Amino acid sequence: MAEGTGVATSADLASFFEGELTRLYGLCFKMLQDTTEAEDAVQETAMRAIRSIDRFRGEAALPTWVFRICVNVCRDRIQDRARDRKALENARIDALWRDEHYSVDPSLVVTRVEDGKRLRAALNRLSPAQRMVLLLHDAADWPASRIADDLQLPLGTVKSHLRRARMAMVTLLGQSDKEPE
Amino acid sequence: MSLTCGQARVMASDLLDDSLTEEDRIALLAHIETCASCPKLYRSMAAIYQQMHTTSPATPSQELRRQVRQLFRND
Repeated sequence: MAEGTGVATSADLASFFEGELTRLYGLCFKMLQDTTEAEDAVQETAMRAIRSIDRFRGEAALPTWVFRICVNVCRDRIQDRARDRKALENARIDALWRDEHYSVDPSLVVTRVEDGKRLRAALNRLSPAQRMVLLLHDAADWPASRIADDLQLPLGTVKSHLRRARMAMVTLLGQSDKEPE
Repeated sequence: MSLTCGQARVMASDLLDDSLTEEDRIALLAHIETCASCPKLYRSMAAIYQQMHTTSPATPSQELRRQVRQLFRND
C-alpha cells in the first residue's frame, strides 16, 4: 500500500489474503462452525473486497477493513440460515432462569458441547444477533468493545446479547431430549 | 449483600468475563457457595465457554488457497 496515501491496490489485497488466509478462515470457521461454509465465506470475502477496493480510502487500516467485510459475510450467512428456524425466545429463557429451582446437569452439558452436531444445533436456535456476539466473543476472542464497533451496537446491547446467548446455550444443551421445543 | 438466584444468574456471565466489581464478585461467590441450583448453571456456562474458546479450526485447505489466488489473478 502506498505509504500515507490511504489507498490500497488489488495487489495489496492479494498480499493480505496470502498472509492472513489462516486467520480469515479461522474467524469464518468459528462463526459458522462448518468447514465448507467457512471456505465459501472466505471466498465471498475476497470477492467483496476485490469489488470494493476502489472505494477503500484508508479510514480504517486494510486488515480492519477486510475483517469487517468478513464479519458482514458471516452475519449474512447466519441471518439467511436463521430465516427458517424459530429462535429460543428471550421470555422463555428469562422465566426459566428466574425460577430458583431451575437447573441443569453439568455433566450432560459437557458431553453435549463436545459433540459438534449438538453444538451447531444449539447455536442455530439463538437469534442471529446473539449468535454473532457469542461466537465473536467466546470463540473468536474479540473484546466486547470491538464487537460493538464492528456490529454498530451499543456496548450494553452487546453484553446483554452475550448474557442471554450464554444462558440460552446452557438451557438448550442441558434440556432433556423429551422437553418441548 | 445477599443475592437471590435470579440476581445471581444475571451476574454469572460477568463473573465468567471477570468484569464484576469486587463487591458483586464476593456476593455472587457467597451465593454460589450455598445455593443448590446456581452452581450447576454456572459450571455449565463455564464449560460451554471453555469448549468454544479452545476449539481451534483446521487450517485452510490448499484448494481454498488456490481458489483465492485465482480470484486475484482474474481481477
